[in-house]
Amino acid sequence: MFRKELADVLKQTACFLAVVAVLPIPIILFKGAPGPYRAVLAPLLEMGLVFWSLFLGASFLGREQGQRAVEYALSLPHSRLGLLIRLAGPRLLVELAFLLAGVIAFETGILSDSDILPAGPIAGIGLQLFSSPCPCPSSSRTSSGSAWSRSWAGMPQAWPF
Amino acid sequence: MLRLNVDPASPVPAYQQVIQAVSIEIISGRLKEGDRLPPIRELAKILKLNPNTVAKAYYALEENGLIESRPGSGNWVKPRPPDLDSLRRSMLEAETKAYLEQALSLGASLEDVRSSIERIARHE
Amino acid sequence: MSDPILTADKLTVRYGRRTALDGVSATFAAGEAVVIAGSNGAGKSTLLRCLGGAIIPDLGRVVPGPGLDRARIGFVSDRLSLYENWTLREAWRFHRKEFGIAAAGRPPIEGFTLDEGRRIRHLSVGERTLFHLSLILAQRPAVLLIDEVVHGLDPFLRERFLETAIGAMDELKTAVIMVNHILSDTAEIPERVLIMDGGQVILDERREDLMAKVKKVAGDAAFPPSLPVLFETASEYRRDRYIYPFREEWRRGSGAAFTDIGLDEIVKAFIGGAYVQKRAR
Repeated sequence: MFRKELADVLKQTACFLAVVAVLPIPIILFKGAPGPYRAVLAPLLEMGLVFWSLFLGASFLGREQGQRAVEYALSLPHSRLGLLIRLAGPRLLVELAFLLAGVIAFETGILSDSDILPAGPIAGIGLQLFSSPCPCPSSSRTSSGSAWSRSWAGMPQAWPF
Repeated sequence: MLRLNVDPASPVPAYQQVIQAVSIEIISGRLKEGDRLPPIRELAKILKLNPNTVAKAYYALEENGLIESRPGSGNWVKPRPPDLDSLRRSMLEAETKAYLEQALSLGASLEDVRSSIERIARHE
Repeated sequence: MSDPILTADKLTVRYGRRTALDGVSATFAAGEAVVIAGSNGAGKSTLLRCLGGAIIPDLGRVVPGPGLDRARIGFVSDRLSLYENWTLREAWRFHRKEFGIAAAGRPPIEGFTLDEGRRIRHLSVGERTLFHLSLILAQRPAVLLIDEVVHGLDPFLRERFLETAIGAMDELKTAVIMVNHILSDTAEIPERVLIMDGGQVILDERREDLMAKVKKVAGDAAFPPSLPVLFETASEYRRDRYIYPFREEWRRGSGAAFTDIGLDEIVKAFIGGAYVQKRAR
């Protein structure tokens, strides 16, 4: 299941990156933007990564919208923690890859201060945005008003078996 | 082919309805000795019943001597048991009783009922 | 009763101030067929989800029978939304790998074929439900939990669904617990009826006993006032009184005409009676 999720996320990210790579071209052609391709690409990539991180985080939640959709996932022979790892894990991996890529690019001078904000904070923001829609595994059972978080509550404690 | 139907609105439990229906098929001769009854699973699927219900009915039919269960090959109609006629008679009486209750509740007299039966029978 | 396969022990589920399940207890036996009916919002689906492990209750617990593990509890829904872009073939491959089922193990649905190449999101609700059922049956479940899907199926698919479930009941001795508020949908498969209202079980009887205990008196005909009336409807043209619990000896004694009624009407009378009680409080 982890592999399946990872494959999905990588495919989607590849599509996203491909779109971002292509986007500066019409902008340069039609808006006659000054500067090289890289200059137009940089802010697009910057913004894009933030939104993409948010999307990845939400895609974990969005698929399981509503109580009914959770049932199939919960019927699989994994504990709730196992499910969370399999669903959130691949997305987290991609986020970390962005972060790493940004740090390396910054450190090796491919990107410098004038080009682009440090990639670190961007990915960091992305990570934070990512983790907020993620339901908090808590052992509190009486708190929530939503059936969705009800399903995940009490995670450390297994269902009867 | 079997003429079996279970009425969900009837207070008669489903398994009893199956017993009655199969008994009628056998008594009327539509199911002959040596005929094979549908397997429990198939009859349950046809009538949309719980398999337990059908199993119960088959068991009761076996107890009544109408069918026999051969392990491995299912349920078969037994050779015509000697008291089939009395079974037919008792079922007929039950039908008549139900009919009479209905007919008399219309306010008709026994004479009316008798002549009505004869009239209709002549036209059959 | 044969061995208990699944027990609900004082289950309580609250959503903020609303109590969905209020200390519900019930024991289900191996191979038993049960239908849970009741008013909207009575907690039927919540109960089923607790039994299936999709919801963790605030209080109480679900006790599995001996040897029952989670992979042998099947929850049938009409949404298979985890991987909607998949074809049926891919979904089956995923499912059997997750559960360690042999490739040949998927039981076909009798009388109905689905093209393996179609994608889940292109299936109708009924087709999805049947497909989901076939996936679950490959796990050879000991318990089937079916939540309000039957009345969403067209009459043809409904028959296929019921026949498939009956086949599983006979072959695997699967216990079937169905939530359905239209009882005629489930035909005569359930042997036991639970009626819920306001997060509680207000009735738990065998089907035959229940049908013997509830009768209707129509019209204004001689009606002895001492009979226990569960629910009553009255309009200019029609008056029905539902008697519960009914005793056979009243047929002769009271002079009123008692009609036998089907389970749908019985459930309606219970639900109606519950609404009346709520208004009275």
